[in-house]
Amino acid sequence: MILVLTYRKYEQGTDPVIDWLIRYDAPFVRLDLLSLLEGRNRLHFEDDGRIIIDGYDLQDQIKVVFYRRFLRSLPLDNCQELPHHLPQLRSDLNREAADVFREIFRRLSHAHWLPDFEASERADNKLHMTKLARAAGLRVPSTLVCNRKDTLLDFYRKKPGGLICKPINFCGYYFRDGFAFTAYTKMVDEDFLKATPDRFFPTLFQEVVERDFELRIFYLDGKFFPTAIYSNDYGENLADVKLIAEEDTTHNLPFALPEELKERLDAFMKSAGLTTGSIDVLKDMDGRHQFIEVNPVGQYLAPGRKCNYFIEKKIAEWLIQKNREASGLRSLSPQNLTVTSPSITAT
Amino acid sequence: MKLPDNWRELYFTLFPDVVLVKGERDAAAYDFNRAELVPIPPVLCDLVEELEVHTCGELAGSLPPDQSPLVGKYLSYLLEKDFGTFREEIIAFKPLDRDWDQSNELLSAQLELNASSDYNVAAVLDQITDLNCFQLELRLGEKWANPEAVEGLLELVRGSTLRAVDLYLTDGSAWTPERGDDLFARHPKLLHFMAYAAPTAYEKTFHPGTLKMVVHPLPKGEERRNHYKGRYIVNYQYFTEALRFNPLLNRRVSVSSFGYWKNDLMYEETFGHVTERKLTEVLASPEFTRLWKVNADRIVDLKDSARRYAVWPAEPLTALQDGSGCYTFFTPSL
Repeated sequence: MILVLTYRKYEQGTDPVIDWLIRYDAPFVRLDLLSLLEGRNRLHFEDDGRIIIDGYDLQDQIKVVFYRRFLRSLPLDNCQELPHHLPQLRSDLNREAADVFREIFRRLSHAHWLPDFEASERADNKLHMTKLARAAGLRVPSTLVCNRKDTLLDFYRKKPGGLICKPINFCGYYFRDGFAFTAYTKMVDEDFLKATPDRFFPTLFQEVVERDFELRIFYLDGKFFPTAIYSNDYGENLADVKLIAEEDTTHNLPFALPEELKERLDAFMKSAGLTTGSIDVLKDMDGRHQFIEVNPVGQYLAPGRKCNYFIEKKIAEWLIQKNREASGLRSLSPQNLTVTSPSITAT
Repeated sequence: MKLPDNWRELYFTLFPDVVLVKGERDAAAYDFNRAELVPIPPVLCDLVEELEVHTCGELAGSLPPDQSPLVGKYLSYLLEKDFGTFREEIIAFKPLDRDWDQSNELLSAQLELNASSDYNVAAVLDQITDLNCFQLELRLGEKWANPEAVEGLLELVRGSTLRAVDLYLTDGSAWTPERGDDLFARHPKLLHFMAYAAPTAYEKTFHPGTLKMVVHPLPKGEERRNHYKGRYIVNYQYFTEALRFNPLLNRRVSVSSFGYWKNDLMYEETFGHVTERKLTEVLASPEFTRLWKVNADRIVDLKDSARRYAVWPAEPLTALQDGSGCYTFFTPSL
């Protein structure tokens, strides 16, 4: 049985995979956090260590886990009568929920995970990933984390090509007046430096890489699906290619990675414990490939569709293959792809 | 955009998201990035083919002196249209794979319901949604176009795998804008609602979806077909499907108002009654799926056009009796 952990509503990286699981008649169960917290799905822990969800014994029946953006902060919409206690209540309940689900994940350690939960949490830390990437022989732009302006100025002077600044972990969305705000990668210029105080929150700075083009590479257990994000005109001082993603002069093009780069990326992903992820690489003007970051649950659908890669189908086939192997069934082939077992979806 | 100074030393790479297609006498660039179909001179296809293996300078040098300057002009045009780029390496990107696939066994279904319809609609819809169908078109006439009947039909597909439901009502007399708005608010699968002969004209766009009411009656067949003339669909999924299949008929089933399985409602040929034949049996029959593979290259009205893979072939096909395996849109009875 394949367990799909995701959001309750449509999730662009999950639903297309589920469509293929249905097509192949693969046995799967889909769970989301809110449905479990609200009791829509029956959950209980047994004294003998078993966890039962809607009658499914997780340790016994679940062989594969497809993990997509499951854990999230609780909305607590029904706690409006205690507004002054809300932050503390939210913090307490989030910790309670996290302990429940981390224990569930721990007891599912026998299963094949796509991606591994703990590895994907570690991968959120760009500093750690940068270290692993360098160890795997990948070129990484010179990076500095500091909290003092004089340290930043010193680094700035040593990098005549300029610096960018970006979150170490992740920047979510801030909603106001019908708009969503977030932090993109930003160019460090004289105005930025003037506005920077002498002491500040530890912040990541990186030397600017003059891009030939950027690569968004979807990785699935040793296979690569690279998309070159290319423009004839990037404009001046473009720090983040996401800013021009929707422009009609930005092309998403299939690309063949050099073998040496594939070997290094594969070694990096294995050292990070990641079976899947979206890897960002810059090809610089000297033809070198520079590792930027990896997102284990990155969005693959748009670049995958633009390059006609059928990534969602390949993910489904991987899940089915691993489930068959773990269940002692024959390997996947077009002749024995279809399996007949009941599937349920909790949403 | 200006040509680079050293353009003669470089290769010109057509972006893989631009595909050039030749017709008998014309050619077109399918610009999938912009979803545009751009007519081009056929000679440009030959030029781009040569540029896959020669630098721009080599190609210009291989032409007679009077034609050589044309290379620069054509390259300027290609660059201006953002169809490609100049590179030092001969192969910069990979071509787009031409595979087409979908997770659904059935892509679309079409049901006509009117006063003559006495088959079990729920049972038919169950068979359709069991195959993970994504799109359903309901053409509703007498007895089925009133708000209660429409509500009942939409309830039947709530919770199914359908992603989109399109409603076409021949008699919109019982519909007001408020009722239409309310229907959209309660049925997120509803994508299009089109009511003819409505008391008042009304149009509203939802996200996604469109509600439209018009006071005039449903147009006749010929007028309806004209709707598609001069309109093209330019996206890569459609293109790859059109290369191999008939995008209108591929993985589609229709049920006539009398309850007969059809390829599409505009066809006269039927494949059994819904009470006598299961949908899975119909789909497994080669007679039913025969037209699915009639792609644009097998339709004489389309095969010579460079735009053939962007056309919505919304006219009934008639097989030619010359043994060629080709079809025509021409219907002798019309």
